[in-house]
Amino acid sequence: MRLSVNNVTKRYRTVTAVDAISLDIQPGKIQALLGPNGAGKSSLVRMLVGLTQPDEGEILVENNGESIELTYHDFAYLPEDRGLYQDRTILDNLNYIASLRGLKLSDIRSDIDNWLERFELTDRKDEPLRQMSKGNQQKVQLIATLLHDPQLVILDEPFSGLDPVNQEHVLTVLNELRERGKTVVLSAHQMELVERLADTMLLMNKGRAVAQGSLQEIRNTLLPKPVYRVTTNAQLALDSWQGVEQIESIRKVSEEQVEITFRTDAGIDELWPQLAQQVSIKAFAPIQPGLHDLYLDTIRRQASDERSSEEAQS
Amino acid sequence: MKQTNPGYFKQLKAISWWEFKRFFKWKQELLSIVILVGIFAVSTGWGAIAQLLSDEYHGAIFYEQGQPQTWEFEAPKDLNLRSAGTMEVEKWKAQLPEDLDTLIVITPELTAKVWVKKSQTWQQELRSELQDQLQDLRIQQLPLAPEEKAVIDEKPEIAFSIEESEEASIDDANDGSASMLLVIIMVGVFTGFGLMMMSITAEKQQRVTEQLLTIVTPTQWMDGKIIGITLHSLKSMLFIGLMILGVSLVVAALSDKSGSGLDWGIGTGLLSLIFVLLGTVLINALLAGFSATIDDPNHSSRSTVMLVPMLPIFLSFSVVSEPDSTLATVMSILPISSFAMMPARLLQTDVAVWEWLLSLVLLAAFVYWMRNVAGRLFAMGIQYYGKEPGWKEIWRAVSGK
Repeated sequence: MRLSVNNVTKRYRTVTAVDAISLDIQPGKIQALLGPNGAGKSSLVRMLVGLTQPDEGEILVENNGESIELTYHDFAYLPEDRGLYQDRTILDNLNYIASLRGLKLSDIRSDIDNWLERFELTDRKDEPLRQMSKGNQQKVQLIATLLHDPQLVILDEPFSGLDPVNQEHVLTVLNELRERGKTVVLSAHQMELVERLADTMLLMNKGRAVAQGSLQEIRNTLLPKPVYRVTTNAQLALDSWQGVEQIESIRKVSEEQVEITFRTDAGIDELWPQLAQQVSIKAFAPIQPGLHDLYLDTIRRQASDERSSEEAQS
Repeated sequence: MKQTNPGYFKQLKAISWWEFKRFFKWKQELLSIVILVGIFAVSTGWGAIAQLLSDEYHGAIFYEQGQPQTWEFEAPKDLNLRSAGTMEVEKWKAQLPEDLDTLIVITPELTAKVWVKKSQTWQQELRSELQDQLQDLRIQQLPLAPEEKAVIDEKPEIAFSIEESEEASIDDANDGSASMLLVIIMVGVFTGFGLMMMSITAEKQQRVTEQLLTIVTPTQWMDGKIIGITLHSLKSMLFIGLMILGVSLVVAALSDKSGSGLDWGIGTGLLSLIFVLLGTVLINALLAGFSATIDDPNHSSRSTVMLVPMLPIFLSFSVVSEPDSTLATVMSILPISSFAMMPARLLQTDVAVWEWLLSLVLLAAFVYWMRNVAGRLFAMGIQYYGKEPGWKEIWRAVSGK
């Protein structure tokens, strides 16, 4: 199932929650929506599942090349807020959601048992949900979401409240879904988990796309110029390398380390011997910042740019 | 995995049954039955219990001019009186002794002075007895001929004739049954009020709404809730109805009457049932719609507005004894009150066919409209997290604009 989001915008009174976002999510791929609280991820997700409608743009779903109307058989949605009945048991909740989806309870009994066993909840299936930890409730919610084996899975903060062991469980489940050709869209702010999982990502801030694509494409977008960390005499290096043409900027990190930003990738390998002739170099290595750091840097830079622009205007 | 399309009605059934089961707990149901049976038993036997547990009081009576030869004060049954001597009276006036609750002094003018330790309810009966008996004594002492005294003693006869005298006892019974019917409807409305409020606001607070709304439509969900909670209301009404019927039969048996004293034909009963059923759905739809606009019932001023549906029932009580009055007729046609007033009238009087037919059509149409409004209000209300929609938004949802 292919999901196309074309230039979608959603406004709430004075706030533009989602601003001209476009996505193309292919079958068998995992698309992550990343961003801090209030970035617009949940607003976008609500439009994807049909809870709200876009003010501008369109969302199209294709199955085997044909445009289709999404029905509750085809997709599953895990909301950010845990939507289960606290006073009812795990089994009651799962049976209810299954019956609403038209599943015969006799047909899915073994599936429910398998899921409960997988998430180590078998012994607690007759306990009311309010007696469970947040993490266990999240697991029940995930089971309820996936029970009907949908083609399109949309998960809003699936790792929320889970401990590292259960986060790995969920990662495994999502990888299995991808292997089985399901289309998965998830929003999260645990970037290190998403880095390991998602095929493509959309980084959002204040409703807008900051960057999107594969991890490498995002790195190229957010960090277009190569940056190296060099172990050397920092002060000498600053004094000596400042005027080198290929170097865009040089920043002292400590007495023995500097961070060099080059103008381009070209010619860096040939440059090191020249630089070492001027100041002795003990070690150097390219900086490959994680998604988390890249994102934070970008957000901070954007915030700083906005402040400067506002100050200039005032 | 094999999947079937459940369709609208299968989903509706699933929601209704879920809503019913959510609040149906065997233990609590049985407990409430036991409590209600206890309340009925205590109410029925309260007179005997009160008699059994009533306190006994002691007093002394003193006649300042000696006791009249043909007269003795008959004290109320809980008061034991003894005669007091002259010396004691003076002493008792100053302070009543421990073993006496009252001292009564009858004056030569046939008035009474009463001393008591503290004010208590039994003294009302004592006061009333003293007045009646002293008045009788005064009349006896008047210089009148025996015939004149007889005329004074005898209360005038009032001939009260009722046109439908042969049906008078049935009318009385039906007056009572109409009131009882209103009580039963009120029980149903109260049940719906509590459960609907809890059902919807708890879901909003637990954020249950989003996942389910990707499976069912707001209107479908509301329909399921209305049916589920209506089943609860009907269950409560049926139980209370059976209790009342049981008590009526017991009372009838004790008073050597056959049956419960009711004169309901099958047609009247069936028609009344339809009105009550539609009315319960209407009230629950109204409550559902309004609950959907409340975020937190503990902090919302709107919770009290939900008591408004009770108003037509309270008003019906005031006109139930006059089923043919203009007010009763109008109330039995207006859909907001007809579900209570029309069955009450049907039990008491002959209602023209056009009246109940018009009333039924209006009620059914109003139920349908209200169910749509509830769905629209719910669809609007669920978009508000942690706050409530304003009256303007509510009006927009109600009017469907």
